[in-house]
Amino acid sequence: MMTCEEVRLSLGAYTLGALDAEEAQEVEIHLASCEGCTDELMELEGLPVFLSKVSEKDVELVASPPREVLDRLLNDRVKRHRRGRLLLVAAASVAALAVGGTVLTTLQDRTQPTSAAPAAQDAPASAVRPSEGELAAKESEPQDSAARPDRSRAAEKDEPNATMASPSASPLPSVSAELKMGEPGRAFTGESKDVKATVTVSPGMPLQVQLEGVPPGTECRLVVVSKAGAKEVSAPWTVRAASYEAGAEVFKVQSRTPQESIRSFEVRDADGGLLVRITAK
Amino acid sequence: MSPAGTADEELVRTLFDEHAGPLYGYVLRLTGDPGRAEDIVQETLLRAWRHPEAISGRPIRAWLFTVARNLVVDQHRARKARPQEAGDEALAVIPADDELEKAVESWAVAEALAALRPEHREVLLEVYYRGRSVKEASATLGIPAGTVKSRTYYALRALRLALEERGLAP
Repeated sequence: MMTCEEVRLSLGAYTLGALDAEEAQEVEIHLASCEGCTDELMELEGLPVFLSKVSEKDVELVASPPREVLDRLLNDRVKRHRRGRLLLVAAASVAALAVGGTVLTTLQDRTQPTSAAPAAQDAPASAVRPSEGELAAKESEPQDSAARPDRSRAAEKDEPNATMASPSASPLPSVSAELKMGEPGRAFTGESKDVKATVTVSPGMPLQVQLEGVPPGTECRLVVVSKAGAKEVSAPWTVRAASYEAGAEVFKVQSRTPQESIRSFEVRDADGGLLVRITAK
Repeated sequence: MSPAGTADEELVRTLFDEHAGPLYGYVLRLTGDPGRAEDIVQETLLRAWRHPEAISGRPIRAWLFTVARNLVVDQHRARKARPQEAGDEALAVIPADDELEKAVESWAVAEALAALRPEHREVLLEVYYRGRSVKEASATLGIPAGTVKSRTYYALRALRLALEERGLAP
């Protein structure tokens, strides 16, 4: 006969169905006549339902930041259901959306790197799932552009030295109705000794930055220089090896500088060193 | 200051002192956005203050965590319902309500599992997620079968406590 203590210690394995048949039967015989152990079993019986809400991979991942787990959970869920909706990679309120090889950052005031910066730095880390990335890229194209207001139009005034305010500090009116769909973007290219960069400017869309010759791991920022000399500095992104080598990495950067007011772009590294300048003409 | 006002003030201060820190950490990990996390913490504590009946006679922390999670979901719904504003780029794509809710719930369970000791998670991985028997887990982990059993038991007890503390009790 098993004692209460033996039974208690076996109840976990019993609840999860890991005891062999013989031992499980012994536990059941004891439970039939022991109210205390039955109460204990009832305390544990609800737990497998909770365990089933996360996958083996999630549990392996929990040592890493939980937010990545949430990203993954949402990805999986969307992928499982495939309702043709968009894939939200950076799920709950993050300031950076990383979709496969595409990193969307938000330009922000360099002097106030409060909320967007840490999230943006996290972005490449959560963008490491190529298969989901492809799915995301496919599904997000059309709605992505439709949902985005025309930022450049909203910012009519080109104030000298105006860097970007943090996103929440300067709500701009929604002007998505004026969004011109399907208008072709203009691509500007610049080259330095080692680096080639292309910035594509499309109305109502984030700037798209493609780089060649930048070593993987380099942290980059895009600086938008207006004709009046104002500089917008983007949140940083890190060039990643895999997608970069495949030529697939496109960084998306929101700019408030109206397209016609842009004089040039600069790609700078973490220390502010100029990697390449692109003249917008 | 009326006596009622003083009592209110004290309640707010107690709520804040005891819970604002952990609650903020929790919501920040969920949202990844310090500004939004602050808003949610404030709103959560405000609700606790407005509804003292809701928090009397039960663990406040669990109630606060539950309210905070719900607020995260609500906020996303609200954002989805209104036109895009500046700063919402990252939220331009939002999953359907039920999926968001499920994802937040899964996140909350994963977060609770993160609070367990590594050896407890390890044994749950073997026994539950990989479906191993006590004997198999014993061989895989290189520990006696008796230890697998007791560890599984303590892991489940610890999980139950972690869920309760977060307002997720079974």
